[in-house]
Amino acid sequence: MPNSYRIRLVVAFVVVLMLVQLATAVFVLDAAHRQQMLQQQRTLDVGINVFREVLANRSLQLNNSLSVLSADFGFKRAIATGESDTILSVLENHGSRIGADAAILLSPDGKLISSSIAGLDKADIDALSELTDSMNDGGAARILSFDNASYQFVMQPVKAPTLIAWVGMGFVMDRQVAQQAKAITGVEVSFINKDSDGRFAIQSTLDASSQSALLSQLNRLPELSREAAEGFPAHYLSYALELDDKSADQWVVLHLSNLKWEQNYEHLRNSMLSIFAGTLALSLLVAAWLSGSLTRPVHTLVEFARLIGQGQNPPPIKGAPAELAVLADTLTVMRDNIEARERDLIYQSTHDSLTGLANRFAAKRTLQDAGDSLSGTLVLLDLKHFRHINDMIGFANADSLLVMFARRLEAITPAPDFLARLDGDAFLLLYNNGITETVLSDAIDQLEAPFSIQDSNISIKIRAGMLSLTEHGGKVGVLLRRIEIALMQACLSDTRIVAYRSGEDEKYQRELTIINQLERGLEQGQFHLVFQPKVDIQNNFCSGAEALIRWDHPELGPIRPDEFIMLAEHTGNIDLISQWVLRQAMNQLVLWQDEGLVGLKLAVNLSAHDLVNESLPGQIAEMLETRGLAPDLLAIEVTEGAVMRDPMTAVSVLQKFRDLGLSIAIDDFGTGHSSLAYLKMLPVNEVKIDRSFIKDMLTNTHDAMIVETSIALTHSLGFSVTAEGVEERQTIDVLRQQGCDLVQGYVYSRPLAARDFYHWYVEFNQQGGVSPLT
Amino acid sequence: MQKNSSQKKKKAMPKSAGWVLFTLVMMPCFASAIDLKLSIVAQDALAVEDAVVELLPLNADAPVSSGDQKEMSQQDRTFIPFVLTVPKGARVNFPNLDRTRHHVYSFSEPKPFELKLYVGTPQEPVLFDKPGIVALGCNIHDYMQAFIYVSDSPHARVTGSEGQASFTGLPAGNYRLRIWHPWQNGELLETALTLPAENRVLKYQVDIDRQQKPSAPPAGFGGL
Repeated sequence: MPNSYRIRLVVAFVVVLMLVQLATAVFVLDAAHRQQMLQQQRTLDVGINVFREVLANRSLQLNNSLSVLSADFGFKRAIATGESDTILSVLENHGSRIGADAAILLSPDGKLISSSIAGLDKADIDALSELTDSMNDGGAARILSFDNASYQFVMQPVKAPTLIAWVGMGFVMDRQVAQQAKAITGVEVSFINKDSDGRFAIQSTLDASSQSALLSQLNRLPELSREAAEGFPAHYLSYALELDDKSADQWVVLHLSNLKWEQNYEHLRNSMLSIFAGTLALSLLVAAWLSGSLTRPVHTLVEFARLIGQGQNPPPIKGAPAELAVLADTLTVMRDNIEARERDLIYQSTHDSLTGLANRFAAKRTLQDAGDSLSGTLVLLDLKHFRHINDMIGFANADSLLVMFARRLEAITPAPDFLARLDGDAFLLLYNNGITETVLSDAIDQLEAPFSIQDSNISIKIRAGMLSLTEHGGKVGVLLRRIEIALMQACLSDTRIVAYRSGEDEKYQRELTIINQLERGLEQGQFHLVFQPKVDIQNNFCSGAEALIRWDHPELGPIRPDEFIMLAEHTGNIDLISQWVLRQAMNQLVLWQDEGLVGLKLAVNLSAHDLVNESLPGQIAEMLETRGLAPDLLAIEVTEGAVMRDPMTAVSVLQKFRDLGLSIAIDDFGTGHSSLAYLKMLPVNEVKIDRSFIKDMLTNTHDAMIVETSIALTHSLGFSVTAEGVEERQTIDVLRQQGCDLVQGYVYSRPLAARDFYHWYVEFNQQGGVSPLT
Repeated sequence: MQKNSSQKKKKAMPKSAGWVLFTLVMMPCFASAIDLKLSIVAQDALAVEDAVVELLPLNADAPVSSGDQKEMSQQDRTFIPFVLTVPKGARVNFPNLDRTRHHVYSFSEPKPFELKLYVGTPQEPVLFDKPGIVALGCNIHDYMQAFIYVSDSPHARVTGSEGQASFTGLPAGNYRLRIWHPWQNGELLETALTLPAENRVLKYQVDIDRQQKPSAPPAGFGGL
């Protein structure tokens, strides 16, 4: 992690340290440099002073030597001769005694008498003459330049005993002198002479290469005479002195070697460098360690968070700083919360929120997970007519009922190995070791004990489908479908327990589809109504129609009403159909009225369920009212069987219909077990004789007699009579003779769509009741 | 005459640059012998000792005094006197009164000579037969210094500490007056003088660099 907290810390640490070290190094080295320079300067100053002293001493010495020489009687006598050859000889002779390199003799008034140096010009003689003047005042030497060499010149008077001449001796400033000066001063000495032609001569204690280095930068001499400087030559601190204040052509340069302190300086610098390097390395280690100890908890936290991020459950961090511990705790709490929420989610996804039992999803997964090891018996329970219970006691109470039922399920013996609420009132039980019908029936007995809901006992009936997993194993979807088939069969056959048998699959698959898709089909407009005319045969006039429902299923095609109505009746969905038919029929009535079809009485079929629904009359009244329809335009047809299920309730509901002003017809008369006594009690207007009697009445005298008797009986009770399923013209005539009021059947028309019916109706009534078929 | 003489003097004065003549006392007129006193002062008006004054008669040959003997002794490593005048042809003895030996020499042109290390008086006095100034030195005592003025005329004197020199019995006539001092700047002074002069005492000024008269330093090496 190049951008990590730790690296940053280390870098910051090291940068600060390096800056401090750099500043220290610069300061120390600079101070050392200056200190060394100062010391060198001082040493050189001492050297300079010593050198001056050396020069002065030498002058004194030379003066003394010369004064002894000049006092020599023989010397004086030789000078006194005035013979130039003698004088030259004595000068040479006596000069060599004191090691002089040049000798001259001047007259007392400064005229040149004799000289060992050839070619002295007037300036030279004047310079020497000036020296005699200074000699009068006590004496000093001068450095004079002759022939590209510097001479230290001293002069002494020759007295015999009066002044007869001035004798001067010159001592050349050569390398030997320089060496002597070096021995005393301890610094290197260079004599530099420039002659009138600009030629330079160097006499120096330095080596040849340094001397040639000097020659290349002689222009620095004036600068060096003001202040000592380095680089003349390299590695030396040098200072230049003018040997003669009257000319700038003779110099002595003192060189103090820098080598030693340069070495010292280098040593110091190297020591500091190594110390700094060591410190840096050490500090890197310390910084790494420190930052490590600082960042380790952070890293631990990062790792902790990463594990939590991966959904793991890392062990709590120990020994972390308080802030990080808080953070870690927060993370843990967060994770716990997330886990709790996840548990809730998982629980909710696998459990039924109402009863707390496993849900369909969990049931499927349990069966799926069990896979091939699945064995035993699967049981699917269903509360019979739970919809109605729901309607009767309200949703809240129904929910309570379901919860109580679930608790009871959990407590039954034998206890199921797995228990789930698939949906609504369907409960799935798994007995891994199987269960027999007898044992299951006993268990269901326990379940059917009345439930106490709001101080009233509610009894339920249970239907059960059974599936032997050892016999009919398979995929989960198949298993569930098969058990549902078994359950449905139990419901349809009104049997308590039905075990699934092989081969029932396809048949009940269709029924299942019908049951499951009925409600959706209603919503999606797969249903429509057709209308079959009812013709008043006495007046040859169409006075009404029966609305019949049709279902065009997108996959199954047209489904016979018998089939889906029976299934709907068994599953308790029939009221949905009834409601839909009622709404549609009334809407159609409204449309026809708008088209001028006034006074047409439309009959709709209600089921036995509708006859126990005591709220239905009120609903119908409301529907009529909102559409502004007269009640006598609507007729209700119920079968005999429907009424006979719960005659008491049916009668009261029918009475309410009657009270509303609706017509009521008994459908399929003669097929049920209805007694005439009941018929007498029923608040009906009309009886419809079943087609089975009509069909053969022309040929079967029994049937003809039954029809005639029924008509007579019905009339005697004050009801009108309708004959259903009339297909032949002659039958109409017979029925007319027998006093039958209305005829319905193919002889007039098959059931027609609304628009077709309208045309048929208009045409039929305009023709005065002549059937298109005739 | 006096006028003329005075005029001459006045005329001579500009010629003799650097020296002034004052007539202090009117001299009585004596034909045979004239006494004369000369006073020599320096430019600072102080008396000058050891100045040589020589009167050279112009109208008569100066008598040569042969056999004259003079002395230049050495006592306490000092020549005594510092300045000695001798007429030419005179001989000078150099008696050594010190216990140390002396080595008297002269490289002067009138009389170069050398008396090598001697004690007492050298046997032969030294003859000074040429007029001129002879500088004397001692080879072993460099500080010893003395001058012998060998005069043409017998009338030569050395001024005393008062800076005066006296002449007696000078014949009247014209003279050439020469004045010299060892410390004198420039050449010997020379002027004409006629006797008898108006004044008995004549004062002359010379230009000298005053110095210490040579004397022996304390014994030992410190004085060297």
